[in-house]
Amino acid sequence: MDSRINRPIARRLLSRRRLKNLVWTGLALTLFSLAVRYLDDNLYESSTFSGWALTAAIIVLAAFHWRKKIPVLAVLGSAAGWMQFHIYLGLSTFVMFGWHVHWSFPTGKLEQALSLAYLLVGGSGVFGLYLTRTTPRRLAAIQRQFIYEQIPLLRREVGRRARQLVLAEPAGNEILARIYVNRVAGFLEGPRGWTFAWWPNGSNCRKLIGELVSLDRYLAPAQRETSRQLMSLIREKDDLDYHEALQGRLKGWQFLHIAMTYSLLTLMVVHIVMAHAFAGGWR
Amino acid sequence: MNLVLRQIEKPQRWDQPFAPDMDEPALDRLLQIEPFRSMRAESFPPHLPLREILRNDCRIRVCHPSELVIRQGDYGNSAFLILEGRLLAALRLRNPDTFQTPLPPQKGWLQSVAQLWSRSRFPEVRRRADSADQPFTIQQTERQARVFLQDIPGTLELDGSQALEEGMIFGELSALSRSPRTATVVSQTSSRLLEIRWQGLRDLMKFDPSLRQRIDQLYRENGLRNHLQQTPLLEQMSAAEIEQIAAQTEFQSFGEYLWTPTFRKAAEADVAARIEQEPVIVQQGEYVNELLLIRGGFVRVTRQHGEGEQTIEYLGKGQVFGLRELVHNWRTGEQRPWQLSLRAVGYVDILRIPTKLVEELLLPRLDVKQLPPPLPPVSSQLGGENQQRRLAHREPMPETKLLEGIVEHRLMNGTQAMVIDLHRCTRCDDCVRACAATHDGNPRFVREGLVLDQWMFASACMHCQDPVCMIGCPTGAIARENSTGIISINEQTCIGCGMCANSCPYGSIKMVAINDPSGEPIVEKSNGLPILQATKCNLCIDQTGGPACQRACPHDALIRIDLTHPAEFTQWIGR
Amino acid sequence: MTTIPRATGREGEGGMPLDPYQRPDQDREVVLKALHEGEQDELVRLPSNRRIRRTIVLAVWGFTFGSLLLAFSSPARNELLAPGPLTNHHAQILAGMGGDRCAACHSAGNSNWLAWTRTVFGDNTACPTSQSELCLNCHRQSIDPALAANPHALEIEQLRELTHKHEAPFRTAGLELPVDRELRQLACSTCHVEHHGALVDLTAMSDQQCQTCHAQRHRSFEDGHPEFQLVGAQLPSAIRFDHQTHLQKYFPEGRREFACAACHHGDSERNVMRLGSFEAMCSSCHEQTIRTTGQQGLVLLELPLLDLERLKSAGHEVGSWPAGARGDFGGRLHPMTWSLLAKDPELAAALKAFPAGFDFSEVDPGSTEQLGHLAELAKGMKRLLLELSARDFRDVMEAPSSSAVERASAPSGLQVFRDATAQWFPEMANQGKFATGLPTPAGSGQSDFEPIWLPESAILARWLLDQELLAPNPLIGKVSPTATSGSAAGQQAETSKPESQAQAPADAGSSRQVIRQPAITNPAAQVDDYSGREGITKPAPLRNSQSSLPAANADDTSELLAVNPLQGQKAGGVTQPDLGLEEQSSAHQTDSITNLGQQRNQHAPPHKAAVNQPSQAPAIEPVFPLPVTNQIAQPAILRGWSRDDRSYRLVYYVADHSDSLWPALQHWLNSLEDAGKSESALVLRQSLHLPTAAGACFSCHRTGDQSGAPRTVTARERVGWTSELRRPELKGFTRFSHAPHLLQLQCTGCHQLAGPETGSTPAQLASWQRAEQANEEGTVESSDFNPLGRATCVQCHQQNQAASSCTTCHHYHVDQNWLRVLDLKSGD
Repeated sequence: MDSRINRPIARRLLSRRRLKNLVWTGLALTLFSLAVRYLDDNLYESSTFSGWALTAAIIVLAAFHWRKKIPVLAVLGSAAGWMQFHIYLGLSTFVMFGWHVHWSFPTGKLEQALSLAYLLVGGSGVFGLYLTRTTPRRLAAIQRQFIYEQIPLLRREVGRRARQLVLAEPAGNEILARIYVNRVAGFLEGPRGWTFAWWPNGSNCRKLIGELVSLDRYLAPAQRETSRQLMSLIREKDDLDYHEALQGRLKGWQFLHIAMTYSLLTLMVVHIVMAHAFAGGWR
Repeated sequence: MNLVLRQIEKPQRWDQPFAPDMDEPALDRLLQIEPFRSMRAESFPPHLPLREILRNDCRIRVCHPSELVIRQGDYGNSAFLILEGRLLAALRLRNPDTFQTPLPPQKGWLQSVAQLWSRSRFPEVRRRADSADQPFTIQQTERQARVFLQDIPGTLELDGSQALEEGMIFGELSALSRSPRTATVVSQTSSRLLEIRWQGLRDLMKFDPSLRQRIDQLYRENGLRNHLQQTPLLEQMSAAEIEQIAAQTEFQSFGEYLWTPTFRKAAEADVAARIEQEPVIVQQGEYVNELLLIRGGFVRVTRQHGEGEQTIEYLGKGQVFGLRELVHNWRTGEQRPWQLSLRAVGYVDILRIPTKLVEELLLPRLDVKQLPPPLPPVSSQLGGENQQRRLAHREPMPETKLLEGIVEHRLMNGTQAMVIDLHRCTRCDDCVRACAATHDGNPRFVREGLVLDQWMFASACMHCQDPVCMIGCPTGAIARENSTGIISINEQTCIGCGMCANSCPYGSIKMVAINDPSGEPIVEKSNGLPILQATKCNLCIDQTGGPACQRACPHDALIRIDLTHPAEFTQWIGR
Repeated sequence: MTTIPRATGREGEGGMPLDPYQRPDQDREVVLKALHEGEQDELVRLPSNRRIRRTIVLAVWGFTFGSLLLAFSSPARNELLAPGPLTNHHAQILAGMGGDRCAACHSAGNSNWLAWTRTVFGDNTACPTSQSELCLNCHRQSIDPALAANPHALEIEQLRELTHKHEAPFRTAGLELPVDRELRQLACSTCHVEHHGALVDLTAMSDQQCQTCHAQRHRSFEDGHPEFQLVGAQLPSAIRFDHQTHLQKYFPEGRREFACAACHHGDSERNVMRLGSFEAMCSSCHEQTIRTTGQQGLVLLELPLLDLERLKSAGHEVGSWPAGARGDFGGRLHPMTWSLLAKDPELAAALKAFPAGFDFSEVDPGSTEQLGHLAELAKGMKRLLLELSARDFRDVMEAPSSSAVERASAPSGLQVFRDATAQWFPEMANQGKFATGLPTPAGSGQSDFEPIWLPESAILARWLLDQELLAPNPLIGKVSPTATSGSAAGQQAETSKPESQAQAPADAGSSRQVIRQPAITNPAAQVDDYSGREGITKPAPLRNSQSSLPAANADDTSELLAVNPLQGQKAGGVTQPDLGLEEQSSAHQTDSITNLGQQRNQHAPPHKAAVNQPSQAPAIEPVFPLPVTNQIAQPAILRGWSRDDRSYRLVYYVADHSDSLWPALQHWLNSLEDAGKSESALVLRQSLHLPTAAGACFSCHRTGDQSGAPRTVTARERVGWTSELRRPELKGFTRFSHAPHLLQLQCTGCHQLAGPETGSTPAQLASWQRAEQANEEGTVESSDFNPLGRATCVQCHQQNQAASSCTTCHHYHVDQNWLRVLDLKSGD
């Protein structure tokens, strides 16, 4: 295959990349802190410096969102590179922010709102970082992989298949039909609720399956087969819910992150204008 | 919003002939010369008359002296019949790198940005001429730029080159095996060639046995010779010696040419039984009486393990099997049998060089460095990873479970397989978005597919080394890009027959219903059925910076990687 | 994309979806085919989560933007947009201003959004006046707007000078002035950052900020701060007080506890320790010494004994001369006389011949020249006496520098002088004829010498006397030391001038007062002095006082005691005047008749004589009629001016600390020096500085330049009459307050007495010895305490203990006047 289209990847250890990035970030932050200290000690206005630095950093961070919208430009570099930069720059802004407010929460209402917006964005970012680093493994642990948008569809499919199974049952022994109506249908078609969304677990699923198993003694071999199929459907539904919860969380944190970013930018502009217009000094 | 359907005729195979200029007199003249003269028109079915094949699948190409006809390494989809003139076929280039075909034109960054806004609001929009009678605009399927070689001896290795005379056929090899051209052909005099695109050639062979014979023979001879000449192991051999070897070497093919159905069938079979579908080339424990060169396709190297066979490695085109045993026996004088078995995965061409010949001609010439290590003592040949590694003589393979999966699903066929690390993938679908952004708003893959431990092999076109999809295509709409071999579908010539989609073993080709720019579905005039077209990943061939999906992944989870040689893959998963 | 793609949901042959790709950003519709009969196809709508996200983003952003708009339009807009509450002071000032109060400190407060936005791009039309200027609108009193931008709000020149001045190791050295590098405009807000809460200390400043310019960096006060000495503690105080000896000797003897607080009181507003009053601190012991020396008196004039025959024979005529002052040459030329006579141009030669303190018994009767000088001198003395009786000594002293008050505070002796003239040179007094060459005094003093006034004054005196017997005395209720009542009288005199008529009663009053003093005020005064403000009726203090009188007085105590109680009750009562009058007369009558011969050549202090013959029958002078005084004579503590008819002296007696002649003398001497007559000043000054001099003022009151510079007797003196700080309390670079320190520390925690007794370091000991030596030489006066330096402060002021930041002791803004004290070119 022609290497001019997609050159083979060079060997790079992710751990080594992390180390490198950490070192560079550390260096940059040290320089920044020294600069601020120098300005403070020499009676210059350090907050102007740190403020503009912070502004630049935040704009660059926000630019990642816009970069994602332009995937076609090779000159923009790979999204992975951007992501790394985004993470480490984002983490450094905490220090820059600290210097800007001189490590004390501001007293002004506007500033407090601004800081709050910043902390929300930063905090959600850190939370998101944690999620993106941990959740994928949990998702991968499930045998089947689902596409988030399709999950409702698939869940419905499971429900329909179960219904079909039960309806196909010959009349006479209503045990399966009853437990389906009373318990299974509710589980298969109903939502799992908030607790599950935050703490996905398979307890309900296992409980239900246990109940089904306990019914075996009342079932004919053919019906047992059906109930086995029901069980597998229940497991599938459980997997679907599990995936939906985790993937939903993976997408959900971004909502806050991105939504607050726009507010943050707006407040920043106001703050910058006010800060310049109402600055002290001689001029 | 009521549906105003755009109705057109159902596209036909020959809606777009290979060349517009095949007029009646030219056809008459063609039918007067061999091999067509001796063909019997009645042996062709009514819907595929000989004359029409010639009209639509052939074209006359006039070449000037020292004009380059085909270039080694390029991917060609057609064979040539020399009508007049003399040509020269050289099997080796002096310096291949300086002699590359330019890449297809790529979008400048302005265009790249522009395509974001010019993206159509509706899926699968095809911009076509509106008139129902002439739905497809005529256009060349291959770009033809005349290239002239000033200094032929300077460019080509003339030793072992072959003169091509009038009436000879060349280029059939890569046309039929969908592999790169093995030779470079230059027109010495000014010459006239009949270029037959391979769909036509296929049909001609199908309905005319004599031609089939001739082509098969050519295929084997050329294939054999060319391959021998290009095998690194035989580099020091002179042309004469190559001839000598070629004379005694056996050319064998295993598996079906179109192996998808058997593959699908095997997939349903029991795990242990699946491997039975794959023909055995070499049986572990049998007498070693030849050296094997893999000319095409893939083979898996297995060893008896418990009740079943354990895959140790897979070999691809151009690789050698059995050298280790040969050398061991030759040096120690022992008579150790085959240590491992060899099975054909899909369609495989094998060359068998007799042991005697190898020991006489080849081994004495090799210096010790090139020789493989001696076999481990017999006692220690039982199970265990290390044993396998020691028996295998190529670069490290993925660990067995993954390897078995790759081979069983024949993923090693892919040169640009899309692999997703599920331990990093956050399911953000940025890859899909990027893909859509570079393909007029239409993604060209689905983020689903086979999962082997944490690795998902998404169902994006892998741009196989042995692209089965191309076999059935009636119009050649799905073809390899000349220079890079990237397989792409020409929207202009695809008639939506669905052959490729059906024959793709990996389900990477999707049939989609197409709409016109206003978002209205294009349907068949007669029965109102939607017009379909095959779509697949084209590896962003026209974009700068390679595949967008890979560049769009923020978490280094997705990669387009060459599985034909597992080294790169093993390296990547071990990062 | 809001429109749902039509192709989705449709299926081709074999149930193959016609749009098999996942389109994450698009809503999708999928038809679920019925699985068995009796079931409908189901259309499932799959919304794209991009759509959901977009709505959320818009909602959140809308909320933010909306609340911003609300904030800007709301009445509470200032509170919402300000970066924090103001400090209380500023907040209170601005409280009334309402909506546009931002504009008080930010001129941008007057302009609009657009203008504000322009400031981001450096266009400052929005804020015509800078904030610092606005600060100075209110603070221009404390800080000179012209200099406000400079470091320390000083002129660069001043900074330079200060730097070089202080580059001595004594103070913070290594100053590197920013002006030497770049001239930076320091805005107020650089250090005073507002909007950080109501209770924030606006003046807080970090050490790093100080060390921006103070290039001699040091980690902390205890580590690397330049050495220094607290000059305040080192400079000699106005009162010469040897703590050492008092601590070791005097206090133990008096069985008193030596407590700092007994004398040193905190002064809140000036951050210094002030001394208490003499009465509170010293009088218990020193009143007595003052009196003992004071009773020797300061001789203003002594008529020499003249052998008139010999003078006549030598052809010198001195005119009338008291009979008692005739005989062999004798008597003394006292320094005060000498320097008073020095004004008389005709006496230049004579005074050269007879230096101050000359004993006339050494006059060689043979030398006509000396006799001549002597005659001149005699005449001069007569003239002086006349002048004195005409103009009082304070005018004679001609101390132009002395203010009205000082003149007034000096006790007047006019009456005494006049009596002396009348007594010794009756004919001069009666005929009003005077020897030639008497310089006529300035003003209408001449008229005083009309003979008429004498009887008149006598009548007047008597009349006054009656008045006081009948009518309540204007002085009733005055418990304060009589000197003040005297000065009060003096002030009457002062104010009643220049009318000659009015002066008589005034003088009479003052004279009466002077004469009256000895007997009655003594107990009262002593009651005052000894037991502070206790009831004056207490007998105990009286006894104390008596016992503290010289032993020679013992035999008189009985009478004193007899009188005292009554006086005690009537202290300042109606009966005082007459009593006083009698005693006065008795006092000088008795003096007058004591046997002259014995008194002659031996120069015994006059009061001795007074003591020896306390109860002589008074000899009534025929010439000058005075009220009969034949009552019991009291041995008096003499006070103020009096006349001695035995030795023909005019003497000033000091009775207690509250005497007020010396300041006047001091001014006179200074003015003499100003007038270039330093010789005559020197003569007197030397005599005054003798430890035996009356009152021995200068054994305690330090003279000379208080800055501790070498002092010579001739140098123009400033006497520390009060325990004043030597430097005005102005805001300098360094501050110190006793108050907080005294909360935890004893005085002695820092102030350690120098000297071998106390545990002083060798270095301190050395400096102390140097100081001692200097004291003896009289070159340098310095305190007897160990020098206070950094070492002392560091004991407490270090990390994790007392504050040790720069601003603990240092000011940034200093007082221009303070710079003047440093003799710097001041700003204006």
